Amino acid sequence: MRHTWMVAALALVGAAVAGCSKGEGCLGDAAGCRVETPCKSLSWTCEGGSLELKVLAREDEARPGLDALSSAGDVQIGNDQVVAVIAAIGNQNFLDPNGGGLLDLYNRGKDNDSINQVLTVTGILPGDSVRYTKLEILDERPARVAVQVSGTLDGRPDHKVYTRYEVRPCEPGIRIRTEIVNGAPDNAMWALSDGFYWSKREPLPFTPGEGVGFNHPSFNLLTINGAYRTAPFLASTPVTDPAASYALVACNQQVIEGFQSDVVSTGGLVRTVVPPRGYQVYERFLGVAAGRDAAAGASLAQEVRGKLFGEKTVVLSGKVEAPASLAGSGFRTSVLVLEGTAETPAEKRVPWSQAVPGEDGAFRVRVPAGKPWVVEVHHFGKKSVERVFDAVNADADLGTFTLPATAKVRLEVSDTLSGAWLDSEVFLVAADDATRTGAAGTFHGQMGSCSPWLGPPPGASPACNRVLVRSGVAEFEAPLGKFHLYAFKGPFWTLARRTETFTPAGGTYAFRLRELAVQPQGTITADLHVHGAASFDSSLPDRDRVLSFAATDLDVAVATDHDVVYDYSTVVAELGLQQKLSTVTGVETTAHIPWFKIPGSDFPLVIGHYNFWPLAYQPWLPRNGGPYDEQLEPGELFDRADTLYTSSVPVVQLNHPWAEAEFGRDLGFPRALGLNALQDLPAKDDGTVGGMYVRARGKNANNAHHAQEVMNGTENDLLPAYRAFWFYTLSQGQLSTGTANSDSHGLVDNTVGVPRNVVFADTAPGTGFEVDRLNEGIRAGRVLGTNGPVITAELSDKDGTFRPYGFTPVQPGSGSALRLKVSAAPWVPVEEIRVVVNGAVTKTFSGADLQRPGDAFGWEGLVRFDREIPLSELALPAGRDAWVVVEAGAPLPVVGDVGGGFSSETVPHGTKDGIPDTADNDGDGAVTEKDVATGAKVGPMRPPPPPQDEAHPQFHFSQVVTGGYPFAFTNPFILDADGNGRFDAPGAESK
Amino acid sequence: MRHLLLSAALASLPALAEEAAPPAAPVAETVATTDSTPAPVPPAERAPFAASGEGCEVGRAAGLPEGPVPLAWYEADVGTGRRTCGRTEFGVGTRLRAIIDTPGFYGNIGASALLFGSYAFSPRTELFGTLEAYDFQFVQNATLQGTAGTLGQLTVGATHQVFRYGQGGIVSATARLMLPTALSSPTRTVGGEVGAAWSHRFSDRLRFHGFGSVDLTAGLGAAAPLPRVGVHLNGGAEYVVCSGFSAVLDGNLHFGRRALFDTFAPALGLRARLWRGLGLELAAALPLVGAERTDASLGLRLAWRAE
Repeated sequence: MRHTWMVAALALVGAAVAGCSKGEGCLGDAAGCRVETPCKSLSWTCEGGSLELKVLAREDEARPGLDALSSAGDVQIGNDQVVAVIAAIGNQNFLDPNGGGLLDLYNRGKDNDSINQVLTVTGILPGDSVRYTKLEILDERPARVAVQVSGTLDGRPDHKVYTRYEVRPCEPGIRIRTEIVNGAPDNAMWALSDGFYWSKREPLPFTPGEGVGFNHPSFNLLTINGAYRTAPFLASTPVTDPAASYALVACNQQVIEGFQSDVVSTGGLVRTVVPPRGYQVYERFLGVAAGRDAAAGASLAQEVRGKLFGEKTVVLSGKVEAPASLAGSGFRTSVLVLEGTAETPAEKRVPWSQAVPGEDGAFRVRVPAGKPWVVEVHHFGKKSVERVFDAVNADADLGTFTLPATAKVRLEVSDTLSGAWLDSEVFLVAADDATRTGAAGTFHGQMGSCSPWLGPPPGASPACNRVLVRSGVAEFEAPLGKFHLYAFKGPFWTLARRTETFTPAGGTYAFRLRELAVQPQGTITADLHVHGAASFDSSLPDRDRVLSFAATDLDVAVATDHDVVYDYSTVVAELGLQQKLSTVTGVETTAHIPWFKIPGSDFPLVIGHYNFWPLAYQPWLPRNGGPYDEQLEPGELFDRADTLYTSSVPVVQLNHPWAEAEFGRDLGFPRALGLNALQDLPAKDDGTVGGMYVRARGKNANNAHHAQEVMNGTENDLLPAYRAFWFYTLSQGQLSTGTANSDSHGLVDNTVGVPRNVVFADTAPGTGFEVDRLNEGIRAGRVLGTNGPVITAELSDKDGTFRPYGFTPVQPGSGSALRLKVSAAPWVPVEEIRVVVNGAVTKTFSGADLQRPGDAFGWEGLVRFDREIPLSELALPAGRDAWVVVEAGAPLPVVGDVGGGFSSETVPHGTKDGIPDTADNDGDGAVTEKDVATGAKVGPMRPPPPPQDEAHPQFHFSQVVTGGYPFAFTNPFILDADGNGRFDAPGAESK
Repeated sequence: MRHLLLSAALASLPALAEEAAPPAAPVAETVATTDSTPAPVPPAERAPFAASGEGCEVGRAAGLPEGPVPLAWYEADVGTGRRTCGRTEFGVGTRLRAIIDTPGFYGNIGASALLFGSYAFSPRTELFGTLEAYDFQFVQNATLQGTAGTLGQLTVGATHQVFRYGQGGIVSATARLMLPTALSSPTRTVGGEVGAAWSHRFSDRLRFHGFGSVDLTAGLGAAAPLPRVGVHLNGGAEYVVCSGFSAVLDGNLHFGRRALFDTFAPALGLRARLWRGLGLELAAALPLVGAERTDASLGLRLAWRAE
């Protein structure tokens, strides 16, 4: 009895627990719970409002926008204004672990979806995203339709999450409420937010703030905490049509807090330490408005804030007039509206909106009432007009803004021999300093600088300084000045140039191009790595993407969009190119969710990117039928792809093997592992990173790819690293075909088809094209990679028969020789030819060894070198097997291995790994620690700067192969010198 | 790191004992013990433990804390042992707790300012309480960091002697309630703990203690209560170097809060009498094995106690 009071105390606790929990929404995690309707104080009314709710089926395969991802099983909710798609559980896309995220949001009838996905997150770590495991459809018509998803933070079952997506009639967006409880015994650090995965070259985030707008603080994973800012709303601006702008407003908090970048943005609750049993509730309205600017979303956001918080706003309208302008402003004119006065410093002005004038030049923006305004009109990427307005308390017409004169330009490109109109690409290059400065522009400081700036670099033509020419003709508007105009149709055609001064009178400029006889007989050209708008990081419309294939005279383009299979054949047919251009449906798997670790490191990694083709394009399936690629080792991923091919001869390509990680995600498996190219690979998994590279958890080993990129991108900045790694794998006996691809995502980042593969294949582009033949050539190593030079090489065997390069071993004899011919278009300089044996250059031809054409814009002087070289001159290892690669082009840049290998707490400075990591950045002819950028351990690996002197042999080349230098390589001859019928790899020490 | 700290702490124990080794002192002032002498001694030379009625005078030294090291990683004083005898005291303290989980990309530094006290109705019965007057938390994951500081939790409880054996053995029952005073979350946490404390005087300088309890905590509010039940077992020894200084080494086992087996955590306390009834305690606890993520907990307490 003496302990009765103790029992009573415990009973009191129990009673309190049982009786005091209110169980709001689903915070109590009760079975059958319902998340409360979000944003209760928000309402719209309209005539004829309607609601839609359906589970998408196979026949619902429409693609409502450039970023549409919906597939069968996903849930579509909508009204008379908007449509939203919630990914079904198990329909995994990008950063979403298991579905349940917002995949598509667009205006009904506009098909303008411009979001890759919007996810509920508590941070940016893999464990900060939600793994939803249950989806419930809530049909509460006529009031609303909703989807409720529930799960936990990924890998953290103690943190339960419920999210409700809701659409009501008449509303220009979707209401969302998320409830999360910290069920763990530790404090949590949460930034409960919506995460927008823009992923570069896509819509840009816009937030009001002093000196902000589009200009957000830069950050990396370690400094991101300092990049969080509060703002009244988050809007986005698109860079291509069909365009949508988004507006995010918190309903249960006056501001949103988040970080902004062109890769990922967040907006949500203020970062909070949430104690055990603590919870957070985030209610927001995510609106979508058709429009080419942030103003569409920003105006909607302020309308919402007016309803929620009673904020007063006014509408500012005006008109932009551009003398001699072509109809419409495209994306080349932009009006930025900033809070401030003439005296307010630029960094203190607060951008509240940005508008792209319509076809008639008119613009409208909604901004807070009672504030003074500065209105800037930007034209061709430069501020052209600025006017100041006193405090505006009512809707106001700001009048007319007159822009400086520009030039209407017409280009005509035809075939020299046939006179036929040509698809091609024209590059504009400022021809004098005044023009270079006067025509330089950016999109409000974003997406890089161009001179001239004709349009947003990621978007459709004209983009940056280049224009696609369709059927011989292109018309566009340009700033005034003196320009070189280069007409370009790929590396195997002549290059034409005119230097013209653009005046308000405009002009028509004609070019003639001629195909050159440099491509070897029996070959087909292919770019095995291209992206278009289907990729999460591309805004290039399909028409321009396909037109760009034709503009550079590609035979074959393999569609390798990120994580989605895509098929360009319909657009090819629409453009009438099906007789000379073939496309292959494939995918670039792009792992997003870090998970595996290497010995000695705590950081989770992803396996990087791989291309797979051919695959079936099945738009009703998640990823259009592409393989699930998260939390799998490469070999496991290859196993999954094995079930999806449409050919018995598929190709798996390891992409950019040594590219630097982006946003904490590795792009290449070998670099993720931190392989050491100075050490031989083990035969099997021995617990080292080398063992991880070769091991197989299923049927395929992690290094079972057929091809790997040696050249990636037009600039080719990492060529020395990719080349070194390829040589390493060849010396290990891993015979993977070296390839050369553009990895183009638009018209500007890389020029499609530059570089390209010249594949010996018994097929031709067009309706009779056989992908199996192409793939057989690739898998056999019958590939030349090039951005201009063409190498023809054969090697005589012991019987005197000349054999091609490739993976079939050749048994050389004492009299064997290498028959070598190098050709190139006159504008492609070939300054050096190298013969590489087991990774070391053993023979170089340069200077007087090589022929040089007289006229870079002519069509003569194609052959630069044609000679038979006895093998005895190549310093082959006596009596031992070897591999031989031939290269041609410019001398290689001076690079070195400063120590970019594996680093950890115990190896903080990195080990030398045999892979170049730093260029001779100070130009002293050697690579030392002095070349390393301040604050970095290694690097950068910048290519040599483009020549400024027109007399430089690479001057014209560098104008159209932007940032690159001439380079071509053959795949290896495999020499079975000891005659045992197999290739005995020389190993890492052979070099 | 935690192992190094523990090793250093353990290594310092005999050194402290040697350094402060008292002379072959006489013992009790008023109560005869087996080797006592009848002559009275001045107060300053009193032995560390002095026996008296109810057994609770045993070991009482003005200003010198006693019993288990009051250091854990839960709210207020939940999950810490209690002494067997009632005392009247009032004190302030601070407690630091660190979780540095590099592989898990998580860190948490917690600091609490404590107010604590007890009132002894008799040597056998006391009421006690602890308030986290200010609870500060710094939390960092791989990318985000933040702080929070609010009023923390309050516990109130009582201890009552229920059994005595021999001349040095005492068993007490104890219970405490945790009241939802913390303001760090809309969810208020309540709890209770019942248990038993044991102490045994082995000699004038060495005393053993033990504690066992069951605790229950749960949330109040809109969210699920998420009740947690824990079991705490404590055993330790206190060595009195002199009347003004003692050291205590405890072993703590905890189950059920975070996992079936939370931790085995030794704790070391160094106790000193500063002036009359004013005492100081410096303590450290180091979870060595188990699911507990806390790397170390440090405490400093300053208390005045009625003589």
